[in-house]
Amino acid sequence: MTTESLVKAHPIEDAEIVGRRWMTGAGLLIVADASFVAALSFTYLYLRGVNTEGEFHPPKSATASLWWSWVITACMVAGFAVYRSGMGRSQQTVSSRFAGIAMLGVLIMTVALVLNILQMATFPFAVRDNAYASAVFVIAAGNVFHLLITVFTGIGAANRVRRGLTKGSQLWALRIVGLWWGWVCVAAATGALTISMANGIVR
Amino acid sequence: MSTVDTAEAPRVAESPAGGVMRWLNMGTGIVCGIVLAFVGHWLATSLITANPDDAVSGVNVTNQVQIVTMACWAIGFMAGLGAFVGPFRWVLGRDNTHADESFLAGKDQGVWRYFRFTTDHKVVGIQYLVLTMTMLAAGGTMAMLIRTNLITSNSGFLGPQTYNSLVGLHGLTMILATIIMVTGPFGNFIVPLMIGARDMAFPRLNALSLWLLVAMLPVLYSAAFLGGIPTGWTGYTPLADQGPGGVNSYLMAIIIFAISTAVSGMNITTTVLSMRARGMTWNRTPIFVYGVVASVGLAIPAFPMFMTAEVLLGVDRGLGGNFYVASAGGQPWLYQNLFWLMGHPEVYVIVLPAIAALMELTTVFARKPLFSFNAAVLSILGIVGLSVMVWAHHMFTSGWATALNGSFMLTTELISVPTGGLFLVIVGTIWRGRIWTTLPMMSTYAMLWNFIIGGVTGIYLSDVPLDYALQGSMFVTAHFHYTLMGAGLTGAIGALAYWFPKMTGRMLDKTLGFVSFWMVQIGFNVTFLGMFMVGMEGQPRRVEHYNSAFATGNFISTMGAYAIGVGMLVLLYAVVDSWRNGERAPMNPWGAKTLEWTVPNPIPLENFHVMPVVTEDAYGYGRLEPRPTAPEPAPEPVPVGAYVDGGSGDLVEGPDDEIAGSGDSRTGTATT
Repeated sequence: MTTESLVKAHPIEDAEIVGRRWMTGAGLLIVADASFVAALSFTYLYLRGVNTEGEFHPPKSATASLWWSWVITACMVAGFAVYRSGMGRSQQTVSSRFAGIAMLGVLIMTVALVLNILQMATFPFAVRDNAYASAVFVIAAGNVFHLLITVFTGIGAANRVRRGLTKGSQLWALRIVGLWWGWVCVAAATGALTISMANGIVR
Repeated sequence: MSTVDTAEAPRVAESPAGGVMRWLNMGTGIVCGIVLAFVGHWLATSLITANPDDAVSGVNVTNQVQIVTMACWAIGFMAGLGAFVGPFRWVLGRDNTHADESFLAGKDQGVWRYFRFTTDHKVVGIQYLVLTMTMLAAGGTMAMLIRTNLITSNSGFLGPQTYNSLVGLHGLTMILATIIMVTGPFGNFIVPLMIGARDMAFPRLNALSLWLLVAMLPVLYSAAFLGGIPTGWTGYTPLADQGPGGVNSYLMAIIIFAISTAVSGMNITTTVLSMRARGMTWNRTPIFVYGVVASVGLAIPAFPMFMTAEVLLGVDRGLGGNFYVASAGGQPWLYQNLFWLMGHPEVYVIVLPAIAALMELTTVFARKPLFSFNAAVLSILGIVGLSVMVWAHHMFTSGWATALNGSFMLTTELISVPTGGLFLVIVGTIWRGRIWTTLPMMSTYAMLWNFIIGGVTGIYLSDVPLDYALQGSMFVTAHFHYTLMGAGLTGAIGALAYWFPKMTGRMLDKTLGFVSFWMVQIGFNVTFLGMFMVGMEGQPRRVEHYNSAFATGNFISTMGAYAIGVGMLVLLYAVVDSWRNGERAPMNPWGAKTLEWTVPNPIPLENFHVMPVVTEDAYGYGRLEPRPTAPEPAPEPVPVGAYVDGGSGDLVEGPDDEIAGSGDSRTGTATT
């Protein structure tokens, strides 16, 4: 139950205070997502370690090409580096061409997304073949989910800078998008490293 | 010579505040959800075709169609409600105006704000309260049916399949309801007020977390029409892999719930970390805030584990995955580990805020400072730390890592130390206090009694050899009901009785409250003490009929359960009747010292006319302070025009001292 407020205006909070708050929130969401990623990695490594009835990844069964995972990860890191290059060294300023730079980063992430989907479509096994196949599929699908959010946030950041909505004291919004982009690169690398531990063969 | 055209240019009509959100509400959400569910169902049925290999590979088209339909319902409901408007407006660069934000906060919308995507934390808190009460009512009704079936050894009242499904649905409903029953209503309504904030850190995410739960409910209860949940609330594989369509409802409901919990946990934690009033150091932060933050802080890493377990189950059921299928390299132990990595922190997610609420109110009704604030905080931190190291005590008899049983036994017994610390803080606070016997205070006594029993029986179960005998028996059922219901739900009821005047502006009917309290507590102890007995004698849990040797104990338990049911109905009546017709509450009926009691009823939209500045902790109840014998009269609200500087909201001394600092010397007003 609330009533009409008698206060005609209340002080607008300093943008940096708002920015730090949003950064804290974004960080906590990343903690939750990190728990999810860790659980997926744990799943793969646990099942591999237990190797129930020797059927986790039986001999002569198909193995995912490790190149795909690392190429996708490298692509994502490149996209993040491009995005980051649009921010000033101190992240307190942005390049006058940030919108274009950010869209280039979005394009690179989109390429990574397409590669990820292609990877899943061309796996030499089906998800139902064995536990290894199921685990690799789910790790790859998790990366697709991350990339979809990454592309969405990147488009938003670029558009808002282009329209002059995010500038000056509002740059914390771009730093938070950059934080997410950095995290998804870490998550992708974690997935690639996890899958790589199945065997060292690089095709 | 030119003349100035004095005619005014036609005013450009402004779009009404709220934009598209003006038209979206729960009704449009339901319509969109149903439409998208039908579309998803039709698309899935048309595009997904059965393959002759499916029966061998485990791919199940029915499961795929059901999962897609449920996901489409949830997405459609949220879209129709307007939950996605904010992110898309951000991307498009069409930010909300101040009028839009005020509309979203529920300004000038009366009761309809409770049926929209409203961002005001007080509205969300009330919505959580209604949602929790609804879920508890549903779960309680199922409990009455279960106990009726068990009134005799082979009553045949429900039949085995229906009984098993009801047990699973009852358990899951109650677990989900008890997780949100304190942090939902009181974490949202009270905590921002208690820390001196105008709202939560992320008001839109606050609304999102609530409405995700509303979207979850039809998914959850669709299980009843899809074959039920035969696994119990834990959803163990391999039975869950093979179970009927109700298991799809189970896993989708959990996935939605986990997203909601992560979002609300992030929101509450950020709010407390970054929006406490000036002067509110950690030493001056009320203990209830610690309990809530500890609870949601545990939930943030724990519930994604649960979500992972269910996502993998969905892959197994829908796509023929092999995470839990031993013949293809999967492992049911994986599910149990992921589940209990969430499952044990989860019980502390339930209990910590309830006990913290009781610690908060005990100081008020004992008119004493908290016995040891530092011990309480350290105990909470100890519980949080140890709770992630005990999960395998749920798996002593599963055969997993038997070499580790001893270690988990040790950590489980160790966790009773900080738990006992909380206990002692409450007892020490009551000791030699000047007790004001109210319903909230009675809840504290009940919690102490119930939690002693629940906690000690937990020690027994933590002992591996004893657990081998008692695992899967009604003894375990009685133990967790004593802790989660006897301590958790009792604490939530105490919190409701305590904060009811602030949340509703009315006093809860004392007589009905006491009648409900005694019926529930006596009924509760009759029900579950008897259950300990039959459990020790060997009655297994989750079994529709039992040996006639246990008949007397079960009959007594059922009678106790009926008493609980009647008592809860009395409480429900008391809440509804008091809310509508109860005595109007003054601003601070309990003479409490925390900040939420310094705001008038009804509470202004942005909570505080003047942001408070905290100068001491909230437990300064002196020994010589007279006990308030009557509720303090509410001071007259001071209109803005009476401020020295004309109502800008600046922090100046003035008559508003009486509003900001009523009844205590805890807050001051900063001068510019």
